[in-house]
Amino acid sequence: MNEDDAVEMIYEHQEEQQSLDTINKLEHREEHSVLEADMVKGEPLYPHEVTRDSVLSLYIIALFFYLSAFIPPPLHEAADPTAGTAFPPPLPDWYLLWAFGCLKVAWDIQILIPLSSIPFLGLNDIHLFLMTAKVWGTLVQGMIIGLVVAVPFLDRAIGALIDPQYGDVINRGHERRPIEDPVRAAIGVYGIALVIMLSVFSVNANIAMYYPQVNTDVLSQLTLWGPIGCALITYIFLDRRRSEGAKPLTDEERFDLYTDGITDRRMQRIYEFKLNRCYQCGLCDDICPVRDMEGENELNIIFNTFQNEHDGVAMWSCITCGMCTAVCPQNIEYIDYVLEQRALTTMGVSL
Amino acid sequence: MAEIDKNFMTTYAKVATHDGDDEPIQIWAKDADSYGGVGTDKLGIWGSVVGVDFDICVADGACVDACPVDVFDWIDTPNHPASDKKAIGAREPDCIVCRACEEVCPVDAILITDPADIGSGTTDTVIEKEEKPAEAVVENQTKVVSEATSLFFKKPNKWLTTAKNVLAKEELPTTGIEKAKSMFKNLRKMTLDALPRGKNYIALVDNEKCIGCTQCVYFCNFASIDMISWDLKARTSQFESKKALILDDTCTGCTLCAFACPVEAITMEARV
Amino acid sequence: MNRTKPYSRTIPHPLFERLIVEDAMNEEKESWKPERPHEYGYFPGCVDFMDVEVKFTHLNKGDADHASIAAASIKLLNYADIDPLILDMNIFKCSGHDQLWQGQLEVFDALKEHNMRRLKESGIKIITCSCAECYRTFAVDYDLPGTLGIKVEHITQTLQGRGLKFKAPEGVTVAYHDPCRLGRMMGEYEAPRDLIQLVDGATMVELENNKERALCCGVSSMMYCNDATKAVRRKRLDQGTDAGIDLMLGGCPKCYMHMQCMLNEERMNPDEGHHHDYEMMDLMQFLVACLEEEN
Repeated sequence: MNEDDAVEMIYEHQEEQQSLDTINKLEHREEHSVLEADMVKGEPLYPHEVTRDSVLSLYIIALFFYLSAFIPPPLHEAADPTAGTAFPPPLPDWYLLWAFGCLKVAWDIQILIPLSSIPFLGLNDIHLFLMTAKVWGTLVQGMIIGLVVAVPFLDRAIGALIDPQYGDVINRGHERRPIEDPVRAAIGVYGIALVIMLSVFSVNANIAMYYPQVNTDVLSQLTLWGPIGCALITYIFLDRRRSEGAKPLTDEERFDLYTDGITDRRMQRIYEFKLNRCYQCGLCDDICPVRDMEGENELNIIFNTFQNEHDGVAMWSCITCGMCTAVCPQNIEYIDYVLEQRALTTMGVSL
Repeated sequence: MAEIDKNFMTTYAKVATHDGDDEPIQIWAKDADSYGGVGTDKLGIWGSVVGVDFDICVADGACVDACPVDVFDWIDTPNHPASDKKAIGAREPDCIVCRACEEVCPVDAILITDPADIGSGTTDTVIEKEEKPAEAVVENQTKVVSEATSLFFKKPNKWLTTAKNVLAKEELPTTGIEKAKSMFKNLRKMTLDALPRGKNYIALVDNEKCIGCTQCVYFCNFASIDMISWDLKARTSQFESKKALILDDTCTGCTLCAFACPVEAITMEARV
Repeated sequence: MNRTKPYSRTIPHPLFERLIVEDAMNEEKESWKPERPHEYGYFPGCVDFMDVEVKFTHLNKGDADHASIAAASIKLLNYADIDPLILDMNIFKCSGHDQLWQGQLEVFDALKEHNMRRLKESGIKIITCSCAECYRTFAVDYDLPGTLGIKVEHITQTLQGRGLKFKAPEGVTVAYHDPCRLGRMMGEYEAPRDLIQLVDGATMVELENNKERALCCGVSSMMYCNDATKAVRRKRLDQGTDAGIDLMLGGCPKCYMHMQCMLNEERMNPDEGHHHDYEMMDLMQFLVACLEEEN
């Protein structure tokens, strides 16, 4: 048998094998590979999705129509404009009391230009109203909402200022547990306490009805200093705990916490857990030299890992050059994961 | 001229020895008269494990290139009709019995004998001939020239040579080359003892076990192993699905591939 | 995704790795003591095993002498007035980097235990390696600074800042190829470059991918040598041609081995048309070659 014969035999065998493979694949669709993912189509928008959504919408419209047609509106008696101001005054719903409180604590902002103090001219003082209490109180609510919206943007900048030791705060995010970050925890406690105190302040007239000694002055002082006190106590307490030796959690400790909380899901391994920090920016995949050489669809190590297709080639073809970690914005050490996988498979552990 | 006598160990007599790198090289001749010493046209067969018939050798250098463990050196043999230098198995104990030199020799002047077989059937009639003083003078003039560079292979190595020259000026401590050599040798010896080998055997690849690592291709001296693509599975890369194929017309049954295979996928089978 | 049968496979590896595994499993209990105390220890790694391996595989045609990297390192250390204890392979064993990265944790643990015991007995303060992989393994996986209090250095770090002077025999354009273990993993980019700057007559250029974006030589733990890894290596060599260099310098014997192998293979198959007309050398060999003029 010379080489040509052998090659011919092999080609025949290959064709046979390929047809068998195709049949096998068609019979066992669940074993499809990543390469086939391109060919799997989802449901088209029209008519499937459109029909389903239309039917659902019509059902809901019909329900509303039924309710509005057959149940009369539960309106009470009309208001009497000639009646005197109610006491205690009417209050908004409980969850809006803080906004009401904002309106109440706000005062007119005015600038007094003391012209009368200039002798010999006989001029009167001028009161310049910059903002009335109503306008300012309304704006304050907007400012509070705006602050909440701006938190993600301010957070990192403030975080970097507060904890200069964590220079890479952008990369690793900040600590999640209050004990790891007392300053931010104190700010949070201040916010919650302020909202509660504003709510209490807004019902000052009702309180004064039952407890006359808790008058508006006392309440306004409490609203001003109470939240600051809470924040201080929080900071001191947490900072003392931290100095006692409570440290930020390592990845391994986080992983233990995480697995303790899971009972019914599939157990994860530590490096899979670390991989969870990935937000799939794809930089690693672009730079991977093996993938670069093998082509777009042939061998895609990192992508296959996330598809749980890492049983064979992908894992063993990784040259562990560490290029993915070098470009990773989250500093995920992908090659540690490869190392773990190799160790497990070498020991014969099922994936 | 004919090829080397296959039974020279039994029919020939030991006539003289020559200094090798580690052990002396045995010189064989039909009788005392057919050995004339270096400088004459009667040289006989040099070496036991690596037997080179100097009367046939044409010094084309194929064996020097083929040897994976660098056994051969050149020796000057003036006045010989076939060639004026010969390939001598100067480092005979290093031989790993791969028979690469045997295969490449164009005039069949080399015979490799397994060290285990030596001493069983050799003749005891030793004719130790005193070397003539005149020959000794000639022998002193012979110099062993090491030429490891290949003929078809040129590569810039000016800087490397400079570095090696600088390093050669001073004797620096070694870092374990003896241990590495002996471990390789032991492993090779174990393979040799465990497997049948020779012209009557051929290496076969178990495709189930082969992982396509191409180690055997690198080790083979005769380019008799090819990697053939089998396309076993669509999801594996082209490399994974390659399997080694051994071509029987060039395989010499030297067991080097079985020695190199990390998964013991290569076995030696008798030829039919 | 549950597989029906446990997936396990044998790892492809060259012969010398098999020998290292055998070596690891031989337990040596007797104690050892160096003749006199040393501050520095020099660990050559498995260069000698590589030497024997390439002789068998016909790939380097006799001109890749890995042991000369170790010899050059010793000579340079002596030149820098350091008297190192040679932690050679008769007493020590392979650092186990490849076994670790191939997933053979048992073998790695055996090697680590042996080497840690020997290092304790040797009484050295600083260990220096000419191999980037050994450097990473000692510093990170053995954690020598934490466990034994031994400082781990790459030889370029040891030689850096010692007032050495080199002079190239002739003008030469060199480029430094960052090994991934030394660069990306240990963050050492400057020490080798500083050493090259010391050489009078050598012009250093940067390859297209350098420092943390440096391309790997392709076979970092001797796993596979396949078409993909060869393509990585060829790309790296092509970058050298683009930069117009005479010499490419590596910081790791493995890089040297794989690049040499590639260059030789190209010359054995001239029909394929890949040709790189420069040399690959280890940085230590280059520095030793430049020592000549100074002496």
